[in-house]
Amino acid sequence: MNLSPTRLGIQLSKLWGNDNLPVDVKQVAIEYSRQRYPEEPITKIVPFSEQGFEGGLFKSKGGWVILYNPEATVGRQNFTIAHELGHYLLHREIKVEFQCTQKNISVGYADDENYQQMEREADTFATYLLMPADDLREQTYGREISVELFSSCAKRYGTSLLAVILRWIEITEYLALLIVSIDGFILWSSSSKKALKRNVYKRSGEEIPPDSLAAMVSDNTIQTNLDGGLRHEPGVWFSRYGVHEFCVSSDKYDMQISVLKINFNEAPVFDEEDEEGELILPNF
Amino acid sequence: MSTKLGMKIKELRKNKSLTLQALADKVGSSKSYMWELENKGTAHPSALVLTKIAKVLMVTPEFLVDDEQVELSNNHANQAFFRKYEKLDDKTKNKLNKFLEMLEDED
Repeated sequence: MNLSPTRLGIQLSKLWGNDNLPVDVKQVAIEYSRQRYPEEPITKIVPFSEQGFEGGLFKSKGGWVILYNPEATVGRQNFTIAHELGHYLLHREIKVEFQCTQKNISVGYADDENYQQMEREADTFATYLLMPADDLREQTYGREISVELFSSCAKRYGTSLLAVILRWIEITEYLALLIVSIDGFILWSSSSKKALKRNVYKRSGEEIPPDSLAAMVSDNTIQTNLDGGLRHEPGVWFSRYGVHEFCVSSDKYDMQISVLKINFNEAPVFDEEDEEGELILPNF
Repeated sequence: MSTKLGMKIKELRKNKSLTLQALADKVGSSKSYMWELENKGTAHPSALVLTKIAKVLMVTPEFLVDDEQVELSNNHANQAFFRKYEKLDDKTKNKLNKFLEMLEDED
């Protein structure tokens, strides 16, 4: 168990290959665990339908059981199962240590730092398993960004739109940001590498601009999600840059998901040296 | 990550069809702070603010801050990984427990 979540995700993704996407994560979990760890495989992947429940990994007779909520969207279900598979591959031995050192620890509490770390690792694993970078590059390279493009990728990988956009932000060569907002404020955001390099980011807790597409969608000022997005002059999202904004609304989670593509070519050119400031990572 | 307190405030506010701004005005606080309370675990409201919010939402402050959680039986709690377990209510946790026991019995 000394592989990183990233390496492990890529490894399993390569085993599956890009020709037969989406990854059948149930099949991978059952077959891979049986071959690799025959003494304690994942024996069952069972739906458990309760509001508020997403998924879990449980020790059971003769192995482990994954539960997931069948009421969630299919994309969410797949991601949850992949996430639990990540826990199985990365953390089931660490857990034993927890039991030894601290009797009453409950791994279910989010304020526990180790728990948070494990959650992030399981998410990373799931992301790399379900959405291989080389394939996503192939699907998006040289193509105009649109909500439809992201939707078709989400379908290809069997994941949610949000998961695909977050993955695209990680690999894109554009200056781009993902902004997730609730009730008119930024819940969290993520900047592409190029955007971070130029200190283009948004902080959690900032109010979204009233003229943004996200604000209009949130206020129900417009009813449709404008597949082609909306182009903003400098001064709406960023004082120096114009932005092409795409927005989708997630009714289920009551939030707006915006993709901001910075019109960098139209912006004045700045000296690279001056732009290299302190890197501030987005707050999740 | 939102807290139980945050989720309670949000649900009560939405049931009363209050906007964040309206809640903030009634409480005498800012819209952005109300948003933080609802959506971020980092906000730690004073007793005074909590009392005011509770009054506007017509509940007791105790109801807002009561964070009691029933843990899973030792057996399962020590062997499990959850996604967002802390958001489950007690009833669901109990059901989950029973379901797991049932699965064990099947084998």
